[in-house]
Order: sequence, then structure tokens, then C-alpha cells
Amino acid sequence: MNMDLIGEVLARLADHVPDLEWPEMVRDWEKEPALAELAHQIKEALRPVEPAAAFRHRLERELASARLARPIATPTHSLMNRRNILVGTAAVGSLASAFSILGLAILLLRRRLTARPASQGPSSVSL
Amino acid sequence: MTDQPCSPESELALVRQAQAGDAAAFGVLYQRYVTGIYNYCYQRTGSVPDAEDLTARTFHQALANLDSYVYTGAPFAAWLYRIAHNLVANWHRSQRRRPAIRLTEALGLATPANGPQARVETWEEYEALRAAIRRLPPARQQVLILRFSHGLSNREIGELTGRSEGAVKVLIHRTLSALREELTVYTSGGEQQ
Repeated sequence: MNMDLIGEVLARLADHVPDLEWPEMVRDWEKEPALAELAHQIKEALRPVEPAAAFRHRLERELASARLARPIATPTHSLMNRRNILVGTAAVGSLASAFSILGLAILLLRRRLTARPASQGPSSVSL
Repeated sequence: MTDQPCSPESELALVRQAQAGDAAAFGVLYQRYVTGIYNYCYQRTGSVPDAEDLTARTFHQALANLDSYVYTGAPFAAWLYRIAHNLVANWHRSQRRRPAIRLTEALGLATPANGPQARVETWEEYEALRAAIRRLPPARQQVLILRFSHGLSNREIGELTGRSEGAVKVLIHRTLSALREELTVYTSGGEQQ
């Protein structure tokens, strides 16, 4: 059985299947001298570094001022507010349209009512 | 290295306070993770100015999107590292250049006890190693940095990266094997020339 091939397949799976339970057959790198030595070299090469104190303080101040400038209202609230404004505007618009149509109807009705007596004038006189 | 031990409950309480507008709570989270995020960005880019820029962008982005953070069982650090990981990936895509490692910084990382000759040789070896690591796929770089620079356990790396402990173990094993093969080829190639 080609262990290298199996190892490569497992590694490929490890890149893409995060929750797969791995069998105990997977070798421990700490028990392989060559890999343990390489790991030691990597530790030395990637020795942790710390940010400069001036940078840390500057960024902390920037974040504090950004935090103060930022509205505390949560996105949920601002979204709700925006929705309320939209619904309100739509309602006012609908009411305005309804009143306009009603006004137009009243105007037309009044014109018809005022025009009818004038056209029926002689008959009413004869009565 | 910087991720101080903290119970998930107390950390979640801090995040909730920060989401409610408590600047001090966000300050505590910043102090807790700034060194780890900076170290991660530095190891991925090899440049102090770029590491500072990416660290600053990580925390500004975290602050701007803090209200969208939802606790899903993973530590808050996982969310922060994901932001940093994505920003570093974008940085690599946009830069399309070899990371510039300053000689003084690199010499500061590698401090052998012997004389200048040994120091330069060691620096060259470490530089070759760092270059080989930066050629790895991002996910593999991430686990190596978290394991060997941050000193996290497989379980902790799994929590941060959304993998099982076994998957992390396999990934580290195969990454070390691949690196060893590449460095062997590099060394033998150099000797042949």
C-alpha cells in the first residue's frame, strides 16, 4: 500500500473537509525525526514578532475615535427606521393620490351639476 | 502567544458590550488580539509596514462590522483571523510581488551564537525556509504560522480555522513533508550549480 499516496489524499481532504474524523493511522510528525527537526527550524524562522508600541497606541487611538464617531444604533434599528420612512412616505403618497382623484371627481361632478341647470333652463321656466 | 486564556462566556460578554457601544470593551478585545493578528500578518507578508497596514485594516473592519458578528460557537478570534486571512489574500493578489524582508529584521529573527559567517549562513537558510513557506497554499501557511509561530495546539487551530483536530494534524504532517521535499530539492539544486 502506498502510504505517501494515502497521505496525499488525506491532506487534500484535510484542505476541504473540515469536520471529517481522521483515523489514528495518521502519523504524528513529532515522532519523525526529520520532520521534528524541520518543525524546530520553522519555529526559529517564524519566531513571533510584536508590533511597535507606537503603532499599537496609534491604532488604539484611531479605533477609539472611530468607535466614538460611529452611531451606536444597530443596523437592525437603522434598517427598521429606513423601512418605516419608506412605508410612511408610500402611505402619504397613496393618500395624496386618493385625495387628488376624489377632488377631481368632485370637481367634475360639480361642473356637471352646474352645467345641467343652464342647459335645462327653458323647460324649468315653462314649469 | 497573545491570545490570553479567556472563557468563551466572558469573551462573548465583552463582544456583546462592544456591540452595544462600549468602547472600553472593544479596547480590551483589541489589546487581547493585536499582537497575534500583527504577528500573523507579518509572517504572511514579511514586511513591517504591510503588517501594520493589514493589522490596522483588520481591526477597523472588525469595528465597522462588529454588529454583524454572530456567535456560532467559534471563538471571537476565529472571526478576527478570518478577516486578517482574507485581507492578506487580497494583499497578495493586488501586490503580485515577492515579500520584501528587511535584512535587519531577518537577522534579528535569526541570532545564532557563532560569528558573522555563521549568522549569514543561518539567515540564508531561514530565508529559504520562509520563502518556501510563503509559496505554500494560504491554508497551509495559516496552520504552520498558528502552530509554530503562535504556538497553538491542533485543537485551538481547528477552532480558529473551522477544521477538526485530526484534519489539522494531517495538514501539518503533509505540509511538513512537502516542505522537506522542496527544501531538499532546493539544497541539492544549489549544490549542483
